[in-house]
Amino acid sequence: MLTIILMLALIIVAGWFDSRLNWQQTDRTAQEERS
Amino acid sequence: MIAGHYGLAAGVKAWEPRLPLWALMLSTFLLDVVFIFLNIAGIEYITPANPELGNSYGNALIHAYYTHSLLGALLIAAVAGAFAGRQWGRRGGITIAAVVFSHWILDLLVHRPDLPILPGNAGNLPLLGFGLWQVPVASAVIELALVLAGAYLYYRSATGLPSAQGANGSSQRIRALTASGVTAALLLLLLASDFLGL
Repeated sequence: MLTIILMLALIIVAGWFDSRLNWQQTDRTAQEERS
Repeated sequence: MIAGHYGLAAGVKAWEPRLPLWALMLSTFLLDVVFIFLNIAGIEYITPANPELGNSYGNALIHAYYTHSLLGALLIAAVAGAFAGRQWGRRGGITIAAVVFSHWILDLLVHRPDLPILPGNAGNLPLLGFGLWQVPVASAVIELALVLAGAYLYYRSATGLPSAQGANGSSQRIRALTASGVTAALLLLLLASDFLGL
């Protein structure tokens, strides 16, 4: 049961913390480097 | 193997940062998500390899002849990749498809021979699986390596992000450290929980 809760937590909780980071800027930088 | 799949997904984030972590985490687990539905329908199921050992780590024979067949896994990966491609472009779609299929590759390493080539084990071809679960410590060490590598790659990628325009650099760093710490902690807890059969 704990294993299943942790699996869901990785998707929801870690995913939420991840979404607060500025990953779009990395994309823009990578696109600028490619062009 | 559970935590190892998630560790790999966290590591992929460093390679393809624009894909949300939740999508990578869900993708790495997608074969098992479909398995859950087929399990409820009574089509796929799990039995203990050694009934005396009960729910212990790696003591499973997984009769998932559709979701965990080689062709079935490729099909699920292709469908997931096609959906993801509409949202995140061709590269994102290919990455998601690869992460979905990575589940089968890692399962091949640890499963006893219970992975069919064709759905429904059509043709009664040999079942695949290198059986590393028969040496639980070796399997757990490989999972730990995947978890640590994934957590480190995620940490390195997150802490290397530039600050958003007008944002405070130190608050951005705190967010990156928090996200990395939460991800690493959950990965390690998941491995411990699976290993202890909790």
